[in-house]
Amino acid sequence: MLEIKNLSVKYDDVEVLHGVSLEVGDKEVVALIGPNGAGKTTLLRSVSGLVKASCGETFFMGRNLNLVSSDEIVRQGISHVPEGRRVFYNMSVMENLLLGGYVRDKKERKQTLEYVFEMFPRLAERKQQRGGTLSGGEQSMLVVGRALMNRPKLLLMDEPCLGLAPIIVNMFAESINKMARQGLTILLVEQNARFALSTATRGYVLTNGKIVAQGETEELMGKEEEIRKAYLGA
Amino acid sequence: MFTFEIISQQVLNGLLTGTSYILIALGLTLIFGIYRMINMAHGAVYMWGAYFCHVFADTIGLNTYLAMAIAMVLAGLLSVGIERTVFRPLKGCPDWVALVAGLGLYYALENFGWIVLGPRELHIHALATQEVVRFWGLYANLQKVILAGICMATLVGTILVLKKTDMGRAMRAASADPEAAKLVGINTERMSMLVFFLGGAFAAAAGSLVGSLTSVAPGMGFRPMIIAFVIVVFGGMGSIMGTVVAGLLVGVLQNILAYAVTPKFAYCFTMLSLLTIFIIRPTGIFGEDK
Amino acid sequence: MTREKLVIGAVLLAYALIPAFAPENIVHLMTITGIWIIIASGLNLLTGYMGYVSFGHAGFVGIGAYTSALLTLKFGMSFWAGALVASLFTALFGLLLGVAILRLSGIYFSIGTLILGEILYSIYYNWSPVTGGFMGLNVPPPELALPFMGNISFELMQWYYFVYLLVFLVVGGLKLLIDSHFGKEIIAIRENESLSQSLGVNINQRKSQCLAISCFLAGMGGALFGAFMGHVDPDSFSIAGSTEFITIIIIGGLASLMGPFFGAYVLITLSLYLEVLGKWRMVVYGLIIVFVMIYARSGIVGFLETIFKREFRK
Repeated sequence: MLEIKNLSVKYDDVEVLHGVSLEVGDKEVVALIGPNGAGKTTLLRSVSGLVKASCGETFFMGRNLNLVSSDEIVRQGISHVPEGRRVFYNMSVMENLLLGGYVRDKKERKQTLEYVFEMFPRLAERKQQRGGTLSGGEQSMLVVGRALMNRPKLLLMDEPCLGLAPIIVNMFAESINKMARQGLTILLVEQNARFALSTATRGYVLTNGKIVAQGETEELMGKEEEIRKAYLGA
Repeated sequence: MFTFEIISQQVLNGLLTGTSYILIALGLTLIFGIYRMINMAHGAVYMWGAYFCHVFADTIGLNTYLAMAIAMVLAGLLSVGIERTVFRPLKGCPDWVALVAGLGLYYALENFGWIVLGPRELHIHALATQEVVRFWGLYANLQKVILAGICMATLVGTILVLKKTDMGRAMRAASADPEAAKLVGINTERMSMLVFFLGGAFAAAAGSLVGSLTSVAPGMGFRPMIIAFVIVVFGGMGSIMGTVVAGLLVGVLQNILAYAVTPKFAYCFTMLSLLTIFIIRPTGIFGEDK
Repeated sequence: MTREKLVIGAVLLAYALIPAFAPENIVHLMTITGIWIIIASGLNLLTGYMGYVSFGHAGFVGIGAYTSALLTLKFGMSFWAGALVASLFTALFGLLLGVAILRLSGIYFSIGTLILGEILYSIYYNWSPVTGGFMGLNVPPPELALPFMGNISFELMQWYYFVYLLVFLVVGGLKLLIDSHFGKEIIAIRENESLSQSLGVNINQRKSQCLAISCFLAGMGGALFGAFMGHVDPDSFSIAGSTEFITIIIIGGLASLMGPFFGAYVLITLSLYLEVLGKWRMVVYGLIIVFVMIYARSGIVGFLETIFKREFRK
């Protein structure tokens, strides 16, 4: 479904991704793990068109995304849950969700809204509350819910559980599994390798802008020593 | 003398003046919300809007309000042109650079106005200019009341659009967090063009209405623009309610000062009082502390 | 070092010889340019070195021009005393103003000075009994009484040499100032105000000193301008004037002593050539400001630096 070939990205003159290749198959949950500053966020930002690749190509369902604008990418069915829960603080939960379905037509939106409320009942209870007044966990639900409103084929998630209590993280892992069972393709970026590998079927390890390990989750679990090395930058 | 009647009359005049400021400042506020830049060429768009209205209403002879609508569209397009050629290349620059560039463009457009309009006094024909309405012992020029009405209608319309429609929500999202807005599929560049279009159109409406009360001249836009700019700052930069309250306050302040001191120095004293408040509270009276 | 001295010597010589060869209108224009360099250098200190962008500088120039004119016209002072008092008065104004307006920083300072510029302009324009309103005031030409030589009347030549003497004094003085502790501290304020405060820079004192010096030079430029033109009127001191001064220091290159030289000459030469455009002149002038802001913000000095660095590297 998503295929990244030899992708390099530069900020100003500094290259942060050096020829990364990665693949996400249909209905697969793939984890991208790696230490801080490895370039994971940049990779997602490049997929959704927020930064332009200096080299390499990205294909989504066989179409090249390199010259496609970010709003068109959303329209094609990629939703991106950005780093650091970017809810619209001064808008209500409902307005946030409606914006999530901005590129979909209104009838469709109503149905999706029901689906999202079913997935996260808490959001239904807080419908009229302002996004900024929600708790951290609720905000995370809201951003994921907002991304689901787009009826994505591919969901990119950038550390949705950062700074959340363990109970809520577990609940989130469950939701992610549920979405996956319903047939959603997910690329999950995490620093917390254990959480990522417990939800994903396959994984990639990214350090210093390069893929250093990849494979089935179990396989990667076996290579724990290698991954630890990668994290410590040895 | 300061009788109750005189003061209420001055307050009424001030509120009516204030509405024209609000109409100019509203566009600046919307633009600032999305662009984080103050468009100093706005006063020139206001003047050109008034001139377009004069051409369609007086030279061609259309109905005044139809002429105004056409002028709004043309001025909106002019404003979009300004966005694309001047402000878009300046994205990411220090704030003051946009101020200088905007002023430079203002002078270019004003002086182009001197070539096209010439030193003649141009008028916009409107029937209501001669009429006076009286109520509660106060009186007001009917055209001013119409101006206030159009301003209020525009304001309410804008707020409704922002609150209730997809486009409005998208505009608010783009101004609150442009990147998150992109991630839900909002074309933020199109939003920028949209606010510049609306800003230009509102300025043209204000210019046409003020032009029908007084006259149309190349230099007519500078002071209203500066006043509107100050109103935007006082409204807390980007807040619409702040802009409305600040606009009315400045209008009233100016009229009271014109009566209490002398009309000549009203502008000077208004600016002086605003500067004083500004120094005490730079984020504006309605701005949030950040 | 010696090469630098040679260059300076050559430049001084060229300036000294120019009036002998150049036609009168060029000398006249160069004199005005010299006055602009003085004002722009002051603005550069505030804006280029300390990072406080003033949109009201023409208003400060006006204070010097009107004060000096009024002192000579109404109090019978000589031009020399009047100009000195006017410059000091403008500096004092800056010092007092600084207490209030330097509470603002960044874009808020710019907005504050813009409003202040409007206030000053509106005073010049409307306070007719004192400022002469939009008609302005006529200023008598200065006279110089020297021992043994009697009265020297101030013609164009005298003006030229006098102005450029001041220009070189001002630029030399600014160089000493920039190289001193003071200069390093105001640059530190530009780079990071709160950090420099925590490193022990008395930022409030430095900021008001810098504004006062900048105002002093603005006042001096104003006094010279009024007396040289023989006339002061409000239109020279509007926001348009302030925009022009900012453009000068940007065309030249911010935070460089030579910047105001280049900027003033480029702008003056441009406006000379733009005369042929007739009524289109001001339109093109405004567009040039826009163009400079979009494409040429590093200025002539920045351009020269990139060229020379490349040459040295290759």
